[in-house]
Amino acid sequence: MALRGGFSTETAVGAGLGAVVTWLVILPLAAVAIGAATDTGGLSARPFLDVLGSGRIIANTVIVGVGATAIAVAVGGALALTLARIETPGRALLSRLVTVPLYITPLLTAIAWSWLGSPRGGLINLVCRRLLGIDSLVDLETGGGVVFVSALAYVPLPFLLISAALRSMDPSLEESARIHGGSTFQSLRLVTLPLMLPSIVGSALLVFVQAMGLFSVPAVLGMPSGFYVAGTEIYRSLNNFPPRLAQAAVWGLLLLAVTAGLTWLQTAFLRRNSYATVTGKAFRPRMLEIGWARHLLALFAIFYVAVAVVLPVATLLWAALVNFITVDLDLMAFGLKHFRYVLFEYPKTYLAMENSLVLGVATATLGCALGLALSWSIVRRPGRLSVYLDQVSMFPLAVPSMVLALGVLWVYVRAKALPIYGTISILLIAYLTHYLPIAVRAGSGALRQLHSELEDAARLTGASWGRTIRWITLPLTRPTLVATWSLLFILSVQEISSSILLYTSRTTVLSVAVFDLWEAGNVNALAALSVIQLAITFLALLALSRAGRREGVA
Amino acid sequence: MTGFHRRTLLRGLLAGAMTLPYMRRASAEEQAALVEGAKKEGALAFATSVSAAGFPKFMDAFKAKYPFLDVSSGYYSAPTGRVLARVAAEMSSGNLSFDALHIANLVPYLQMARSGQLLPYHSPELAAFPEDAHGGDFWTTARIIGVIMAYNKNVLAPEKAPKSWLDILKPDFKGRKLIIQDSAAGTSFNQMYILEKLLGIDFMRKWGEQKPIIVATSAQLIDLLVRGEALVGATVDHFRAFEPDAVKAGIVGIYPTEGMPLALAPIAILKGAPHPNAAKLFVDFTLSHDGNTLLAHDIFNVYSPRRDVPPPERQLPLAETKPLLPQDLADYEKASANFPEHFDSIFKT
Repeated sequence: MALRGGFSTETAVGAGLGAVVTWLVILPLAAVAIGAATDTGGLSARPFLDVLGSGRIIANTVIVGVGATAIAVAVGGALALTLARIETPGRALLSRLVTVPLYITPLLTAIAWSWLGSPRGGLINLVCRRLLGIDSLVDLETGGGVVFVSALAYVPLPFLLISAALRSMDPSLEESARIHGGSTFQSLRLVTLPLMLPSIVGSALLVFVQAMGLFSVPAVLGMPSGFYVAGTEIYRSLNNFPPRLAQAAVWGLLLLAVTAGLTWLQTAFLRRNSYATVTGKAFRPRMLEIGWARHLLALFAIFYVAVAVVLPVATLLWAALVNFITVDLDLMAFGLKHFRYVLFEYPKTYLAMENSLVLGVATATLGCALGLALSWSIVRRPGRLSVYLDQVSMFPLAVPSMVLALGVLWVYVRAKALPIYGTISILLIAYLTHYLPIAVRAGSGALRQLHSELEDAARLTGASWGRTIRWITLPLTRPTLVATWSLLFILSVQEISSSILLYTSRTTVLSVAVFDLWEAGNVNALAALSVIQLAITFLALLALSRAGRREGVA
Repeated sequence: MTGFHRRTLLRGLLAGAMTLPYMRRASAEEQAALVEGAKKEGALAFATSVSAAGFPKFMDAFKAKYPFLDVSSGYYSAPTGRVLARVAAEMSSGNLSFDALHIANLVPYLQMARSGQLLPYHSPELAAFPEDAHGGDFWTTARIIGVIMAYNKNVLAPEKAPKSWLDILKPDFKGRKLIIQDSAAGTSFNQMYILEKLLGIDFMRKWGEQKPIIVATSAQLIDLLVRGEALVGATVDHFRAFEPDAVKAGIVGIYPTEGMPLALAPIAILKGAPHPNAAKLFVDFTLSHDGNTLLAHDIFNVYSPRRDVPPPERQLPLAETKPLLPQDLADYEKASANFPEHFDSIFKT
């Protein structure tokens, strides 16, 4: 009886999840599709033709996608190998520092790098002009600059995915290569690299999809020199009068189609070979012996941290403290006036902090719950429904969040039965939809490592489905849940693209306050507020990791 | 909509020295009824494209006058396109949350008035405005913004700075030496429409060939000028060039010899506004002597169409700037519909 009761609960939960995913993902995407096909009221193919006709922008978008992916995966992969498999000096600390760019929004990194590397007034050029007499050494306000800064921001993704795979790899395979006389390099090339292919391809796809839809970095570094990409076109379409909403929607659908195609290719490619040697079993991977070269690799990791973390954050701090940014190094005076402005005069600061924290906690908590529930259905109950849940929950990854937000706006402004339009809940819905792929992937990753025998044993001894989840599944997946919660919290606090379309002054959030300052050209106040935003993020994470450690989770 | 003619509009707008005409005061009864109605509504929802740091002062002043109104819950500010995207989505779904609209582009008001999307309201304050500063009872110009040029004297010698719009075509200013605003700005549409009428499409094409830097907002433009990223700002909202911080950093405003294109920023009430009485009080306040002085003069430092609001500080009176306005409103509206594409064809090739 208990089993049958459990089964019906499961069926009900499965159906409920199907409905939730459809509601969260399919509805706004359907609204986008309808919006794409209707130009000023009537059915029209013009938006499609307009978008497909902008060859240079499509080319630029592909350049940023391919360029940023190539660099991020190469650097991230090299860092993963350096810090996971080689006795690099200081690798514990470096492993943490390398992931810090995840906590800094690409918008801030881009703004900081524009202050450093703009062709005339950039700090690097100012200093070089003063010291070396070189007029203009670097120019990051170019397509190359967009690729470089996007890559810097995305390195942590391949780093995390590839190091995880490297750590869980069965070392006996490499050892057998060595026994057969292969050098360290040969065993890396012939054994390790091929085995890492799924995580390399997976992280490449992840970076590519995000870089293609990226708005902030091209807006700051590309637009001034006329380097436009899909993300900037979506932003311009929405800001213009008359707004070209259909074009924005078409760009979104185009990126979705590209991602769907690539995901299909990835699945087909990986299916040809078996990579099952990367198992869930815990191994202690053998460290590679490379002698003095490990010091060089440590320098490489330090260089990345300097360029992606230290320099941008120091620049933000400098801009927050300098009275005003000028071309004349001698005119620069420092003080706390921008912090005073942001903390005591800028009317949005405290309300935005409160809203960001509330939304961060709500998105992280509900996202984890939903992610775990969905991944449980996907991993433990394979079938048609699980395929649907798996695929649909990945869609939001492929659609730029500004377009997704447009769909959310269109749905909820009409959904009078669910009056959340204009409230903070519409932001929560947009965030949950946007970050659903991350929540689901993290959850299914954890569940795949957890053998179902444990759950089965509990069920056989008479525990209900609910109790099994409560007493077996949840405690065992807790480390992953805590990590996912933190990630979702950080990402929500940083979210800009959908927030700027959906907020009202009562529901404004920190990232919108920062973005408003950018649009208002108030760059010093922007820097001060960003420093505060970063501080809040880090304090929240610190508190969380302390709490986790106390409970023995971390 | 009756098209206003450049000369009549200018005559009206420039008649600052004229004596105030008889002003129709709202009767005490009418006023009391509005306040009573607004009390029941309890809120005002305002959509606008203004992003000035000082703007909250204006909303605070309104709130101080009508403390029973919640003016923050429904407030939304963003660039024009985003504001209109939300207003349009709300209107088409019959779920309007906004009451009043204030953006720096006349065209949407012309269109909305024609298609019955604006609520006519004859504010008693209209008596203080020239005839042509308002479109019947549908909309009224609350601020007038001129577009000029500016340079940074620490980067460019004054004798090399352009004097006329035609000067920006000089070879000195080719290749990321000029900065302009992107097509999203209402002021940028006005400027380019008027300059194209005045100097011809050839001028525009050659301007495009100068490959200017394009930024999203006029504030970012000043920021780049201050940082010395380019020589001349060629789409500068006039007041930005005379802000104390900008002047301190070396920014100098130039009134071009051909004249200063003007953009009108009207205010209107939306048809179907959930708080129509509060919206009427808000429009009255915005157009009143005190409210408009605060908005146009104190906060934005721009021109007011009201005859009794002083001209902006540290700047030329409107009459001396050779102000330029569109002459054929039907043509102006038509040009606006294709402006984003037109802009891209000139500056993004």
